[in-house]
Amino acid sequence: MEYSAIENSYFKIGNKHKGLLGWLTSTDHKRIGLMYMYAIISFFFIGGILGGVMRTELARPGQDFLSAQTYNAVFTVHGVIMIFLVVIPGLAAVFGNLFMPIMIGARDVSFPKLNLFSFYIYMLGAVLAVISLFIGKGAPDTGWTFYAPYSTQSGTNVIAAVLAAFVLGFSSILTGLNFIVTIHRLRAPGMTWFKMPLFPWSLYATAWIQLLATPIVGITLLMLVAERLFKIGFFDPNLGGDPILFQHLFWIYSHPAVYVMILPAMGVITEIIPTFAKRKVYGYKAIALSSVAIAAVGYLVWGHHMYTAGMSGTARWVFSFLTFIVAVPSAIKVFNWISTMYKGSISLEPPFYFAMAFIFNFMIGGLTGLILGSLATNIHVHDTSFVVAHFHYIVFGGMGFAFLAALHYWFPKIYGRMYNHKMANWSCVIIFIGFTTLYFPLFIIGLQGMPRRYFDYLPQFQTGHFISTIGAFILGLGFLLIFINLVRSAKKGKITTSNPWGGLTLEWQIPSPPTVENFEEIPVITEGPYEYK
Amino acid sequence: MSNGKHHITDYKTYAWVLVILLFFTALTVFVSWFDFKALTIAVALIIASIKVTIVLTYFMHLKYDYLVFRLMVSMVFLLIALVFVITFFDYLFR
Repeated sequence: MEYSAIENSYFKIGNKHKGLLGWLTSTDHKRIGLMYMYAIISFFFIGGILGGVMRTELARPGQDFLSAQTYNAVFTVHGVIMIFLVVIPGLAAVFGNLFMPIMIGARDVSFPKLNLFSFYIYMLGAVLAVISLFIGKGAPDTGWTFYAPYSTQSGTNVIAAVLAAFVLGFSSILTGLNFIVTIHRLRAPGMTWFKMPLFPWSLYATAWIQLLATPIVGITLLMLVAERLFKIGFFDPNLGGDPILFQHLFWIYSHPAVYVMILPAMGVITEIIPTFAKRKVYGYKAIALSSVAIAAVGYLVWGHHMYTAGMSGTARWVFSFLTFIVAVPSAIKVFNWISTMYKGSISLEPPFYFAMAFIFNFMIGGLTGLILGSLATNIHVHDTSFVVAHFHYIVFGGMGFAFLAALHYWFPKIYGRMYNHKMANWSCVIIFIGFTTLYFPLFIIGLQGMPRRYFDYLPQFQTGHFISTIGAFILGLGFLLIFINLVRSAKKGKITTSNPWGGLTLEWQIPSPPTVENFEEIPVITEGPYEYK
Repeated sequence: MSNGKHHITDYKTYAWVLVILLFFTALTVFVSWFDFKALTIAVALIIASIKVTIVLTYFMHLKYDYLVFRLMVSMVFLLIALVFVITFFDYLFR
């Protein structure tokens, strides 16, 4: 019976075209989500290899196999690929597309063709980003932040990389717009706002950030191009510009972009915990509204990236105050996750382990964020590897682990097959050990004064760097295990039931994999999404 | 009428909107001759905001649309205003 579910699913039945063309022209949200997933995982591996190259160079002081200029290019391209091609679209474009319409009881998003168009814009931006490595005078060396005035003067290929980020922004905006309209207009009958699952809630808050913040970085990057090409003085003091203006404009987008990465991650965790604890979510409304609160307040804290840049003292304490405020709704979520598990009948399955790793990493990332948000301590650790560690704890330890959690949670729904649990558990443990070994030493050497983005360093930092490099290889091994397990299981895994975890949200009430339009009849919702008895 | 159904605005209203927009455009040019010091940008933005509000209200029919859409647009304006205010905590006190 279950094998016929695969035969009747969106995998086998597409549009009028067959094979690859059927996928490339499909407006089915699930196919688009899966195409995003394959693209994003491919870029993740490229970015990951670049990160591994960096770590290997840093294993001991002095030059080993990268020149200083190449090192600058490697960390820039690593950042551009990981930020703009992987973590910003990450969860929203992949699992948002795959499951948000199903979770709200819809057959597709509101604008399916626009959804496919967003994917193609994403791919166009990705191609531009890759081209920027090879054309002109070498890969950009500015860091992913493109800080002016250096980015207005660097002889490397900044314009192509900036245009790539600009184009990718459009994809993000259109996806956000599509999700907002879908959530407003296509919820199943009876699904009021507070009967909607919390992953769509997190996507709703994310979509508003995508829609409202992304245009700002688009305009900023165009200003940068205008300054490089036409010598219009926006940011270069020699032309009458203000370099801090660039930082303001860049971070007005790029800090909320961190919430574009982490809010859907929080949404994923909020789905996984009640399913495996078999408990109603504790404080449903608090979690839903805290997503909106994070999106709103997170918009106003960008200046904490600029404490040492020369801002006024008044602006510094205002931003510090607002930064501490945004920690409150994040803490509400963590409190509610823990409370949901309290007295639950927990089943320890791979998605749950990844979710627990997320909470652990996110707590460390969040609390070290407070050290950076506080004015006095920020001065000490600004632009050190402490910041690199904090950022990776949030983005990789948070968003990355949530992506893996989501992948293991919804894998049976996507493919209709189950993976090897033992191998998944081991890969979770290895990745967690590798991650911690890689990034935790960076906190310590950062506190000791190791600057970020340095190609060489003093001998006193060698132990930390060496341990960190070992961690990178352990991490790589963990990913190899996951890759082998999931690729093999997608093809030959055991056929699974439609609801292997006993979840209550709508995606678990339809066949695995889902059919083309998800529901034969749109369901009528009469109760909340997590009514575990 | 605020039920979101089609609404046809008469030419007279459009003409008035045009006149008001032209007046504020002239005002933008006029105030640029004066130095308001720290308030220069605030004055320019206030005039521009009034013009945008009029365009949204009449040309984009927000006046006749559902309350929820008016609230959404208002929230966006509030957010942009906050971003400006917070940015100027830097520029005004530097």
